[in-house]
Amino acid sequence: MNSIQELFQKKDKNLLSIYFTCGYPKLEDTTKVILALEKSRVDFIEVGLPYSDPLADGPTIQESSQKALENGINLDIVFEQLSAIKETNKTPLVLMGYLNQLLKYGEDKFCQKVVDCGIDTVIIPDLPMVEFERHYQQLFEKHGITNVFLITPHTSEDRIKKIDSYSKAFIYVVASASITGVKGDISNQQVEYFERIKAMNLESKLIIGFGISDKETFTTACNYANGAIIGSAFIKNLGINGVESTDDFIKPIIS
Amino acid sequence: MIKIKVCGMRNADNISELLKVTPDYIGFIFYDKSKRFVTDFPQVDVPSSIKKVGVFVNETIDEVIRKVSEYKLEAVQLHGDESVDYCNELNSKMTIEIIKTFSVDENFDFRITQNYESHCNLFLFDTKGKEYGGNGLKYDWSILKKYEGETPFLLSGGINENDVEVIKGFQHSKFAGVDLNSGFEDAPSQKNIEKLKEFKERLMQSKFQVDKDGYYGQFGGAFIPELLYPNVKELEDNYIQIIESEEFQKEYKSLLKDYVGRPTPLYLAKRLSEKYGAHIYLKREDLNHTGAHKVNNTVGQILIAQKLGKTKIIAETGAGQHGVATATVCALMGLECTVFMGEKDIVRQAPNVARMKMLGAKVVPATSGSKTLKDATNEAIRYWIQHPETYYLIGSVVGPHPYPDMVARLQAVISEEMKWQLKEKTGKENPDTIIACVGGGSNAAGAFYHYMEDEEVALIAVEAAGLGVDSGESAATSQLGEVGIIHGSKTILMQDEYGQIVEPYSISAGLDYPGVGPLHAFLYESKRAQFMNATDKEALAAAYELTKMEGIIPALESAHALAVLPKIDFKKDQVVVVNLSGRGDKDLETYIKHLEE
Repeated sequence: MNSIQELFQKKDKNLLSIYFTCGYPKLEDTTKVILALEKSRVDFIEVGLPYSDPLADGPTIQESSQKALENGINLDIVFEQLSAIKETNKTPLVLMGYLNQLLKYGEDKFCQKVVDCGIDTVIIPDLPMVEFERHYQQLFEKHGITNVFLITPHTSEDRIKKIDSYSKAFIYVVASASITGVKGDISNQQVEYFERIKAMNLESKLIIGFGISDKETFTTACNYANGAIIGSAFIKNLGINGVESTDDFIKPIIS
Repeated sequence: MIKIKVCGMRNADNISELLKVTPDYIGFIFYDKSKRFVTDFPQVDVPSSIKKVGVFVNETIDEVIRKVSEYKLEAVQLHGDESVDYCNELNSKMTIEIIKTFSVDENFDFRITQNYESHCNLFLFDTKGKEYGGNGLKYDWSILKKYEGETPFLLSGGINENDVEVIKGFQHSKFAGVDLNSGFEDAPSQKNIEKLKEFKERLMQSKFQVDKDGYYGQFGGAFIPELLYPNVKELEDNYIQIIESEEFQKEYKSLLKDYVGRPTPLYLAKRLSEKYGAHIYLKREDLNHTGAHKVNNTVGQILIAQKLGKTKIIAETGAGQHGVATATVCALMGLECTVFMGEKDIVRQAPNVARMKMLGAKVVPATSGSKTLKDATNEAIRYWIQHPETYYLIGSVVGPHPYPDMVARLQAVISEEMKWQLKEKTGKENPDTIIACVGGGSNAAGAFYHYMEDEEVALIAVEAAGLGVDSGESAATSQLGEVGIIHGSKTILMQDEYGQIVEPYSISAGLDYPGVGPLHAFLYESKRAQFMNATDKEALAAAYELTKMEGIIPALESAHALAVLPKIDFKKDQVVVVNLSGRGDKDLETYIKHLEE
């Protein structure tokens, strides 16, 4: 069974997931951040692979990626770092990167390394459904990897149903038409959209992301989904206060 | 054009549906041992452009003639052991197209066909089977190489939708088309129209045009986040219909003529020709309104945006030519315009920034990465994600499908004009060589477009080598890149071993891009186009040369195309067209700076 699915069997409400960028703020911080997040009892962790041209990401994640690349991070180092904590870390990890990284590294080699690190779930924001159907579905199945699809306020009902049928971990509900890191309250329009998705009674669990930054937005999001993802706000804190401040950031959100 | 014959039809409704696929022939089998034997001839109005063929097996001539006149058949197919004399007699009794079938296997003696040549219009080479009629088995088509006759022929024998590539790759000077039957049936005689339609589309598709999924070979596609899906889908669903509509064509052509100033001249550069020993023509895109070819595309896309009901336009720009061309058409149409431009380019292309602002556009600096075209495009895409109501007016043959195809179609006017202009000046539509610079590749796509199928025309794409291809400061993508994904498209891309996009360099802001459009990646991979490159220095020298010898100051981008002239060994009388994509006003500062050096 997929590790995230397994997690949902134990807990399916108010799940908190944190996104962070590998190799940020320092090269060796990847494992430190994961272990700190585990200690703070985050439910699952999105491990961001720094990319030079992250189209779906806002300035915070872009800058953290840029910094991480300057720190010398690359896929080989990431995989080494992740395998090193494979035994100690019990919190499920989800890998998030862009398709060109996988393509250039070698599709099979990439998938094998992911599996070797004990990871079975990936998010690739620029992998469209048609290309998934054409090729990647088979590739991922071969390696026992599950792909997470994103849906947005503009995704049609038919498409959502199709995505539901392909989703084995969860559906990533993009909170608004935006890139990552847009802060603010959750609007009535967004609530309408969340309600519309909730009313579809999909098979898949729902996790809301993009624009979730604090306890308030997290709690609101959890009313309409099984949990939510915080990314940019965490990275901002990491940049300013360092890995040591992880618990101070997480605690107020889940308390 | 490959002809299509769909045989074994019987049901009137099915035939009515089939007419939409517009085959060249529809076949009716008048042979009582066939599963598709026609007893009651279906009453359907078949347009005269589609020929009705009666298929007979060893039938009496009188009966053939009776059926031809009763059902108003335009052709007969003789599928049995009909002799040469039989064909001769039929011919003497009535005027009708005769198709003679030969069952062919590796032992077939093609000399048999010789005597039929003067009595038949077309041959049909079918699988050798125990029973008469196509028995649904494909044979080895390579044996047809032995056929050296003059009569064109159709291929037959179990052809189905999986054979498109084999058919497209089949080479024989007399190969005329295909005969389709059981491979497209849901039940005997009942054809699957959707399958036939798709088969025909794929068969007719040029390899240099995008396929239905937006690919040129392995390049292209639409690798976009879900957030952009509705926008891209809307455009994909509508662009061809809009572009091909009479209304659009009328408005587009009228704007190109009266606003842009087309046709642009095709100028024989006499002194340059003398120097390089060839007839060198310059396609003067620099004389377009706003100073470059970019406006051909923006005029077209602004009309498309309007038809889609969009009122806010965004664009990316490198040298600022596309930004200016976009700001211009937005001013013309009264639409809101935001242009994303790399911070570095804002400095080196200051005059264009001023023009955009004067035209009422908002210029937003891209401050990430290399602060050039790539980053401007990233920022434009991010903005588009956050503002899905806007229309993204991409300036080159890059981005997710349908942009590369749409922009190529809108720039195709360049080669469309070249054809008749060359005909006027040289007596021939085709030059020997076309040279164009490539960053993303829109001017090259336009200059190559109508010549891609004519392999006799050499296509030369010139990339910017910057300080030298191997200097680490270059934008020669084909030489330095590998297959990858950039800005929603699978193409050739400059990247490191981990797929991180490498920052390119060129003195020319318009060529300073780490990818090429997917069409160009395909032209490169298929070797249809030759890819050359020119350094900053070579481009500058070429710009000074054109200025002094012909009195034309070219854009730095276009100067790269001119810069390969000394590197090519021309034959006397060789007709060469260099696409002079833009003028050099915007580059004056750079030119003056280096002139003093």
